Amino acid sequence: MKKDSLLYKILWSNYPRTAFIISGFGLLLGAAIVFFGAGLFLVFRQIQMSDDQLFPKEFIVINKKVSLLNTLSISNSGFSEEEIEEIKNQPFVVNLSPFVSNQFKIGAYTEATENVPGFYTELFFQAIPNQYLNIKDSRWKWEKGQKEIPIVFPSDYLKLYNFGFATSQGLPQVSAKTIGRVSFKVKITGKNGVHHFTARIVDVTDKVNTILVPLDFMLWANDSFGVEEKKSSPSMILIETENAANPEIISFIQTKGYETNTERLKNSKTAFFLKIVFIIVSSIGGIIVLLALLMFVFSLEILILRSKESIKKVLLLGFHYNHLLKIYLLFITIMLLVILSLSWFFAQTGLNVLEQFVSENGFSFPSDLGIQLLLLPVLTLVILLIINMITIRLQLRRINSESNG
Amino acid sequence: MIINFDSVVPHPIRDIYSSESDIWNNNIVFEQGKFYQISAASGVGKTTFLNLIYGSRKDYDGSVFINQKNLNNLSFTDWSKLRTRSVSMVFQGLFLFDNLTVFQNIMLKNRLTNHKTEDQIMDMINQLGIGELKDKIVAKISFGQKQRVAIVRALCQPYQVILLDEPFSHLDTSSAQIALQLIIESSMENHATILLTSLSETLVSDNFSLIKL
Repeated sequence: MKKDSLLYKILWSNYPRTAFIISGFGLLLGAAIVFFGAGLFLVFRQIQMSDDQLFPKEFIVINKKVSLLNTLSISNSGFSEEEIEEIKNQPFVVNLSPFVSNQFKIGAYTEATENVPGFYTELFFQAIPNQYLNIKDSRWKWEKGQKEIPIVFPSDYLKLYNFGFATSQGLPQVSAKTIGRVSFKVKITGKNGVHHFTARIVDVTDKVNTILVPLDFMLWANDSFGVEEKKSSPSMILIETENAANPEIISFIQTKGYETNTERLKNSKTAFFLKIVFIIVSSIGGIIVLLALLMFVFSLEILILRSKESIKKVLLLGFHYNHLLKIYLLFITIMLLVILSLSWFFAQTGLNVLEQFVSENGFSFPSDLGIQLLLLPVLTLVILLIINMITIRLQLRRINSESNG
Repeated sequence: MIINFDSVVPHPIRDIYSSESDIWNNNIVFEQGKFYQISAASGVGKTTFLNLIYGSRKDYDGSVFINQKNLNNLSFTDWSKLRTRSVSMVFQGLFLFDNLTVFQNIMLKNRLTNHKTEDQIMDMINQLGIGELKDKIVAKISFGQKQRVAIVRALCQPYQVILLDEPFSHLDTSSAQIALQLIIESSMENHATILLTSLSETLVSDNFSLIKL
């Protein structure tokens, strides 16, 4: 450093101060906006990822609207094969699977103990192929002869139990984490008489309001116990799509008189909206960064042009232009490091303030973005340095060839 | 270091050079350790001659060789090495940095070459009578004083040839003699060649051979 201090004095003696300050502020502001936007995007992605993962990211479940005609048994709420085929042919459908329903009577019961009264309720099961599910629990499988049926329970039912049944009956409440320990007896009545199984809840979901069992069990049970009068066409269909917020889906569903999980669509719309916001914010930040970068590069060019005669002299004394390049780059690196660190700090502070605001309003917000959010400034620094290196090197080479005839 | 000019004619003086020139369009060898004074009137290429050897001009016909290497084939890295290890020059325009002090101007080169100690530099500065100006900004000293700074700077590197472009033009006789003595001593130590240009044909010292341009 000491060795080059005189060179610094020569090369930076008449730098365009105002232009550097303005472009520096521009970079600071633009980069802070981009980092903040990226932070929001990461937060959103983490929220999405922490969401329950039982189903593929972009899916919807549709069913027919229940009307007076259904009640009067004039119209069927199940989907016919033609209707399924029609849905399958829609451009937004990547894949679909009807839910397979039980074709036999199911009753759930517990035997009364000293503390807990016995109960009995009729139930229903539905199943879809495993490829549409992402259940990590190893108990989510069923083989012929197995007496325990794993089931996935809708979280709304859990809430109903916890805040309705359990409180009124003085029973212990069950959380989503402890539900894996809950089991109850299942009585199946079908063509071969009455059969008893145990059902164990292995997971809960807020994505679909049905009780899911493995398809293997459902097919075997329908085959073994199914009765003709219980046979019905599927009442719910799971659709895998590229983008659940696609307006075509909504209009198709409305035209056909179907229904879907509106919450899910709303989430998708929110996601879509947030993506747009992220793109707009990041684009504005990006444009500011780009303009500031242009100004920065121009300032550098002015600096080098102003020092042109000095550079020629220095080269004639025997300095290599790579040596001068290093000196310019060292200064620029320090400058950019300070600017980008400040941008990062402002973006992180902004996110922290947002986190505080959001948590005061009763939402959780992942805040451990530090390392992930650091990658962007590092990447920006590398790109900016490469651009500057190319610019300065070109200029120096030009001056070098001028000073050497 | 042997320098060989083979039928060299610089483009700017293509139409005006003298057919009696020892250098232009001629074959001439400058031998290691010898001192040459190149004399000519203004405008016939004294500076151009030195610039060809220093690599800062390439607009000429013919060939210039240093130790049998054609200068046209050298890369900038080669030139950078030559200018810090083998070829030194006192430019007619001096090429000092006005915003640096006398001492800083000299140290700029010395930090690149690490050739002299600060004491040795101070010794040379004092010999040339500019010791008191050491910390003065170069912009504020006279041209004669600047010439002496440029001479000290040129001696702050190892060299096998030193190119002196009218180095004493603004010095009084006594200062010029001291400066010349310093250069001769340094060059003898380095066993180096001196190529000195001047307007006058009177030899600066008996050690020099006169070359007409």
